[in-house]
Amino acid sequence: MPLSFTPVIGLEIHVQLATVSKLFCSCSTDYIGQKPNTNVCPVCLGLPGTLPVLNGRAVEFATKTALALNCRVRNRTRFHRKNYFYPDLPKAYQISQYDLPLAVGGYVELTEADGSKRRIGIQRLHLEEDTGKLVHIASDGRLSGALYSLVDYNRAGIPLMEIVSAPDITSPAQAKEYVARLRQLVRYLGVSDGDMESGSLRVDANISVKVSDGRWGKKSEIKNMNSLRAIERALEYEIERQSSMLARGEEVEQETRHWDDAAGVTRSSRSKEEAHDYRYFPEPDLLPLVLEEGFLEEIAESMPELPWEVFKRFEEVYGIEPEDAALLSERRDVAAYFEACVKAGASPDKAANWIKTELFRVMNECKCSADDFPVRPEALTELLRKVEQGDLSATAAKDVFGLMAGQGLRLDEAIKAAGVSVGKVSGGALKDIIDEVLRENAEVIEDIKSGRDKKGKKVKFLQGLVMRRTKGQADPQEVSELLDESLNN
Amino acid sequence: MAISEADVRRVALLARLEVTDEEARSLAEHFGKILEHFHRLQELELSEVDPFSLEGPGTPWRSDEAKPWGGRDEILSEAPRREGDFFVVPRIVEEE
Ligand SMILES: [Zn+2]
Repeated sequence: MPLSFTPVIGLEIHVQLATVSKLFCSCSTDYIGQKPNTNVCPVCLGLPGTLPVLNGRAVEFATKTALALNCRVRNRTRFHRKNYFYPDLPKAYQISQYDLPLAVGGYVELTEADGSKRRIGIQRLHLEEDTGKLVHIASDGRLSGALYSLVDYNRAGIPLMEIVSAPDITSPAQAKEYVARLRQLVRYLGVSDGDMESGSLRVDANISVKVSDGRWGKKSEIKNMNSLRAIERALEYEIERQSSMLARGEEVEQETRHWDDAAGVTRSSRSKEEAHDYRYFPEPDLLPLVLEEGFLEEIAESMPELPWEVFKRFEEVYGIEPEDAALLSERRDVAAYFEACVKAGASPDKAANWIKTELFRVMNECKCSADDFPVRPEALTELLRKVEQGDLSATAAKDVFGLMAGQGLRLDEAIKAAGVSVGKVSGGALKDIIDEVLRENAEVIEDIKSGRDKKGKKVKFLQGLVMRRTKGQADPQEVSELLDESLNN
Repeated sequence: MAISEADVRRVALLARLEVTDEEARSLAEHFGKILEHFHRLQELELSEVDPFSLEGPGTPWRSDEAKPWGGRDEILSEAPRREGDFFVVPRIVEEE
C-alpha cells in the first residue's frame, strides 16, 4: 500500500496593535517612513534606571481580540523577561508573557471550500513588545558576510499581540484561510491595520508531516512569509520537501527555515532562536497584570458585530449568495456601505452587484475606504433607482458613477457631465427605436394584447428595453406615451 | 564571596564594556560587597514565600498618549559607533 502523508500545521501570529504609543513608554508607534531612532527614549533604549509603565489600551485591544476569538481571559497574569543577546533588543531581553498568558483556549471557525465548518483552536494570546530593526551592511551588498549592522529602535517596544494556534491546521489553503480570518478580525475590531507587507501582521508556521506507517517527522518553523499567497506556497513547498524525505526513509530535522519568495523555496537558517536559552523569569519591574472588575464586561459591550456574524446576516437577512456575502463582509467599511444602501432603499442584489464591481474598482484605484468614498450610499441608491426606472442605461450609469467618484460631482451634475441628457432621443428617432424593440419582442406584445399583463410588468419591461437602447437619453414620459401608442395600434 | 579582577573583565567583556585597570580593581571590591549582601538574604527563611505572587495590586496602566522625547541626538552621539541616524553594531549575521 502506498504511503500517505498528513501535514500538521500550527501558526504563530504577531500582530502590531494600533496604539499611538509604545507598550511600556510614551514614544510614538508611527514609525513607517520615519527617520531611524526618532521614536526612542530611555525606556525603549534600555538605559539603566528606567522603568516600564504599561499602556492600558494595548491591554484593551488584546482583550478584545481574545474575547472575539472565544478565549478565556484571565484576570490576573504577569509579564516575563525573555532573555537573549541580540542588538534588536537594547535591554537584552524582551518583555513578554510566558506561563500565564493573558488569554487561553479559544477558536476560529473556518468555512471549507465545500461549505463545511472547521474549528481551529487558539492555544494562547499574549502581549509582548516588538524588537528594533536591523539593516545588515556587506561589502558586496549581500546578507552573508555582512561587515556590520545598523540598528533602528523606532519599532522597539511597539505593542505586539502573539496569537498561537493549536496544531489543528491540515492544509496550506486552510492556513491561508485562518490567517485571512484573523486579519479580517483585527481590522474589524480596529486593533491593528493587519498589513502583512509592512509587517503589522507576521506569520510563522510550525509544520511537520505524519506518515501512514506511524512515523512522524520533526517540525520545521517557517519564517519570512509576507503575504497570504506566500504562506500557502511556503507550506506547499515544505509539505512536499518533508514528505519526500520521509518517503525516502530519511529523518526530518527540527530546524528554522526561511521562505525565499522569489526562488519559491524554504532554506535552513541558523537563527538567534536556536542558539539561545531564553532564561525566562518573571519581570521584576512590573507588578501583575490585573484586569479590574467590570473590565471584561466593558470590552464585551464595546464589541462590534464580528465579520462572520455580518457574513451570516447578509446571507440570511438579505439572501445574498455566500460568495458575495464574503466579499461584502470582508471589510467593515464596505459592509456598512452596503447596509446603508439597502437601508436607503436599494435592492440588496443590485447594491451588492454594484459594490463588488464598480465600487471595488474605484476603491482599488484610489486606495480609499468606503467610509469616505465620495459617492455616499444614498447617492448610489438614487443612481440605482434611475437605472431601474430606465432613466439611465447600465453603461451610462457607470460613467455617471465614475464622474461622481472621480470628480466629486452630485448625481445631477454627473448626469449632465456624462452627456446623458434625458430627452435627447425623442420624436421620430425614439419611435424608430420603439418599433425595433417591439419587432424583437412579438411574444411580449402578444401577452399584453391578450390582457395577461394585468400588473403592467411587461409594459415596464418594454420601457426598460427602450430606455436601455437609447442609453438612457430618452424622456421616460415620452417613451411611455409613444409605447402605449404603438401597442394600441 | 571574593571576586577577582579577572571576573570583572570577563563580565565587562560579555556586556561589551571597557574597564580600566583602576576600575577593574574597584569594581571587584564593589561586586564582592554586593554579593556579600545578597548572601545575607540567604539566611532568611523564605521557602513559603512566592516571590512573584499574583496577589496584591496590579501594575498601573498608562493612557495611550504619544509624547516625544528630546534626547535622541545626545544618545546617538554617545554611541560607540553611529552611521547617520543609525546605531552601528558589529556583524551579527552568521554565515549560512
Ligand atoms: Zn520609548
